[in-house]
Amino acid sequence: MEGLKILKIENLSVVYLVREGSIKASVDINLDMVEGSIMAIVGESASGKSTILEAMTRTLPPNGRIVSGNVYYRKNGDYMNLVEIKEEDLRKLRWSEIALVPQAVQNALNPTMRIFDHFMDTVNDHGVDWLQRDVWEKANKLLDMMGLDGNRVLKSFPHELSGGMRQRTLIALSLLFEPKLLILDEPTSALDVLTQARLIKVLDEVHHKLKITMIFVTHDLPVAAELSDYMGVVYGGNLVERGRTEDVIGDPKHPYTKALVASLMSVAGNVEKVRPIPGEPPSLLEPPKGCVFHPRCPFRMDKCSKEIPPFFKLDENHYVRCWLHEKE
Amino acid sequence: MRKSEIVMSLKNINRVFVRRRFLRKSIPFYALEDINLDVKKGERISIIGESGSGKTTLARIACGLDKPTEGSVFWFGKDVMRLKSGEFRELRPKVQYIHQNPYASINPSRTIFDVLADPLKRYRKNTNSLEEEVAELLRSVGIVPPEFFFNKYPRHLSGGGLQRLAIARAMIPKPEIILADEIVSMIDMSFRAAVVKLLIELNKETGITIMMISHDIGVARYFSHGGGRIAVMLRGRIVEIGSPNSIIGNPVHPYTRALILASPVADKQLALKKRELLLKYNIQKEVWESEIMKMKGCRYAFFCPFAQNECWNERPKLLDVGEKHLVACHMVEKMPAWELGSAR
Repeated sequence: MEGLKILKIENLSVVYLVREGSIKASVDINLDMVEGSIMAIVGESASGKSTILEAMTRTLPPNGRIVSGNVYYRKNGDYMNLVEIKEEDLRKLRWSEIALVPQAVQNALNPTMRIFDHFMDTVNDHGVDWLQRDVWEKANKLLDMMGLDGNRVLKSFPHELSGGMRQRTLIALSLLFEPKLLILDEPTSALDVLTQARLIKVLDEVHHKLKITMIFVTHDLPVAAELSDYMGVVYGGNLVERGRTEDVIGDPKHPYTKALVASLMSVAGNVEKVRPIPGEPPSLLEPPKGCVFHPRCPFRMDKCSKEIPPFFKLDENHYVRCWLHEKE
Repeated sequence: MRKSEIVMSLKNINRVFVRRRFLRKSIPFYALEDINLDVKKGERISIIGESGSGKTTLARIACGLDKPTEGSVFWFGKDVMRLKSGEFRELRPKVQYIHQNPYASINPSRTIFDVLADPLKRYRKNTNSLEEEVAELLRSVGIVPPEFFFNKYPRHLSGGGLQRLAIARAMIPKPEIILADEIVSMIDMSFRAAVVKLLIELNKETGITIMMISHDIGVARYFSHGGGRIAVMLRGRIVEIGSPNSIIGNPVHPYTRALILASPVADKQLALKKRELLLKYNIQKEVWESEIMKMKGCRYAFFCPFAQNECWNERPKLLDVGEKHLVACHMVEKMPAWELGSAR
């Protein structure tokens, strides 16, 4: 990939310990983030897409364990391993360098606090001594960039805002310390179509204005296609394909990505060509042997049920985890 | 059109919720306003709209779960509100409702066999064994091999599997109409098309009438293609209704156009074009719901770049623009040609 890499995920594996055994939520994930680009991680629910975000920010739930792998973050020209650095050092990185925007569900903002107090709270918590007036001004500017009326929003309580406004407020809040890397968890889920279109536009504008690197997970392939430069497709805890968004969507190589693109019910394209994907998703408790997709795959070979395919490099950016591409 | 062909008909339906406020004047909230809809036998009709547009209220009223404030609902030509209770009980099973959230609509403590066997005991007529009939039902919705799932619990199925089970359950009383309320919104992307396809197949094989509620215009397009209709709802009113070809290929109402332009597509070039065009049909601003409810005219006027005086003061009526394509907009004549007409 061209450009400097701000984040490198190498061989990351994460399990969740449960009574019945261990859930393999991420298996051998390799991912690079080019500075100043937008990366989308696409997958279904329980495919392990959020786990990748949680592992790299070390916010896994108590039963989550990073089994192996490293996450390197570049700061001032050096790479630091987020998996290994001390909790205090990581705390300094959070919000000022790496900001995480949670899903805009009701509990992301404190219902008893006005929006401005959320900004003040964040400032106080990070030991920055900014004047209240300055914070107001900064917050106002950020909210304005989000297309919101800052003066009104800052005085409101979270319940007075609509879902889309809340989501944009959260993004404004996350940009307060001008982070270099913005992580968004399902930024558009539970939003109406028009609100969603607006949020996509706002995120795109913010990206171009601030040159900020973004990584977001979504279950919505078209949303990922509209917003991202690079894309990773996750299935059953495995990253099955990654590459430039145009390549992955326009010419998908992994059978799962192919099937997913063909199953899209969109307003564009030929309706007659919509093809549902047969079968059920794999259990992560006992994933199928070999390639995780092989029970549903129309192109499966003997090898697929025996050996886990490695990443095959198709070109500089495009990687795919499928035995079909062994010779290429 | 013969009268007998219409299985369900909604006439001048209004549904008003009153929002009471302490020591202040209550505000009426029009969840549905003057809805008229005839559903033909064997039709696949989609109702689309954003949250708060009244699409679920419409479905609830259509299947008798809620009563309209004004207006009447007809099932097979009979006014539901005036039926004797015995008659109503006879007709009730003919109209089935599938809920949005399969994780909540199926009892988690009963096996998959029980979920289907209980209603079967009540409705079955032939003498096959119960096991055979349950197996037959499961097979018809693609849960195979059926025997494998008999003693499994709903938690063993994925969202798509649960929704299939819910569809199988709704088919037991041999209904004439199924109302499917947002049945794919809670389930995963890769099962969505399969569940919608299952409904289409049921419709084609058994001739059952299906009304599907959705917020996703792409889902509606797939569901209704080849003979169905799509109705677009906006804040309690139907603003446009017609075949998928006219709604997607030649939408007239600026709101419908905005909805189409706002739904994401996988093609990046097209996405950028759509983003540009959206600004032409939608003013992006925040308006309080109460302000919209107060005004007399078109509900889209606040967001419509084409709005004129009459749009603010006078309610547009649904008028035919050709080929049974109805639009409620004062500015029909002034709408520019649809830019994405050939994007199919």
